[in-house]
Amino acid sequence: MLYYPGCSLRNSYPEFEKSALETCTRLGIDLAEIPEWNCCGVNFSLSDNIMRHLGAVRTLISAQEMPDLSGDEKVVALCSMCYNVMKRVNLTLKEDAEALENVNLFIDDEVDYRANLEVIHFLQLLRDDIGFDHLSDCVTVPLKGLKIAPYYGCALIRPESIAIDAPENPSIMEEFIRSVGADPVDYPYKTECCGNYHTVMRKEIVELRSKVIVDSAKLAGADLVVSTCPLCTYNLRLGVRALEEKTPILFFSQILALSLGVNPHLSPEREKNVRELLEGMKSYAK
Amino acid sequence: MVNEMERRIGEISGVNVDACYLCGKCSAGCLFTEQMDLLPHQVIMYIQRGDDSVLNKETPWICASCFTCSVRCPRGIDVAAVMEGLREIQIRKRGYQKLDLKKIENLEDLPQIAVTAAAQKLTW
Repeated sequence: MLYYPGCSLRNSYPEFEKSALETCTRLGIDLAEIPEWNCCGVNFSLSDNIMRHLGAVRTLISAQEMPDLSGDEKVVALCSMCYNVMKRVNLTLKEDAEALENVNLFIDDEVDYRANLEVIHFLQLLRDDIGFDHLSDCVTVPLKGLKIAPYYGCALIRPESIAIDAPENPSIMEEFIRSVGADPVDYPYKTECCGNYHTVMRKEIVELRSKVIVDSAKLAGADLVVSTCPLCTYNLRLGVRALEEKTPILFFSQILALSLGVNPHLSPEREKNVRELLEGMKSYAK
Repeated sequence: MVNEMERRIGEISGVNVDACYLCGKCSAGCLFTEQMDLLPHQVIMYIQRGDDSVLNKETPWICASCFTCSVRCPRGIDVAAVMEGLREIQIRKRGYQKLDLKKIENLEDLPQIAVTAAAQKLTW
């Protein structure tokens, strides 16, 4: 399996990547990092200009040229923004022969991209390649009694062409939460946007959105919220602070690491909070 | 007859704005209408009428491309792409703008995808 880390995992939230890689070792998933990868571009351009995605295309070419590939490899991403952009660029190049020809003509210092890679998200790898049933067999520390609110945000499930599950009522994160032994919490805002990049120049919009989301998860009884996106995580934590709350917002890989008994790489300010939650649960033997 | 606004939006975003029958489902589900000066379906209506004053509205810049409207549209219109088309027309006309990093609070804490995404909205 080819692995695309993305910028935010390396610079802002190393705990996301580190915890995920620990779980891979434990689950026997062999990830090979794509050499010389670029930033995905973060936004997929909704206009007519495929040239805005040359960075993503170069990453895909670099993946395609890795040694010993069978030809129909999968590229797996952890960050849902990366997944969204890489998947959409790849899909455009698969479906639009003219776009593929244009980028290949433009990138004349590399071999042509043949558009036969697949881009998937790590949750799809858990569902489709490992299987949630098998995953729950691997769990050594079931998070029994822990109430977890899944936060999908936008990038995993919209637009429909790249959705990893039903856009209006997804359940893949609930299935994941059940497989680690915890209880998924249902709340109405799980797929609502957190405000995205408005957090840079118009923080008030994001605070408004994320307060509603966190408050709703809390009202539904959530002990913590899991996310798949570094930007959503940042924004939801703004909401937690605005509400003067303590609800931890964690990456899904950290929950997985906890249930597999490997290091979840909790940051110091969240460590105490999460350990307190876990100590409240009888099953957690530590 | 397709008007000039519809033609340009179609060219940039690939969306046929004329397919919209103004049901308002996009506006009903939009999470950012409080900050908007025109509802999403009204934006479409302005374009259908060829009213280019829509280019000076805040709404296209408030849209965060969450695709809730695009997923729900009964006519299959990618409303988020229409908003990007409107931003594009403005950017192509007036040129790129830059993010003033000095004005950003918590620059150190922000994940870099946030800054990159925000900058792209002003330059794409």
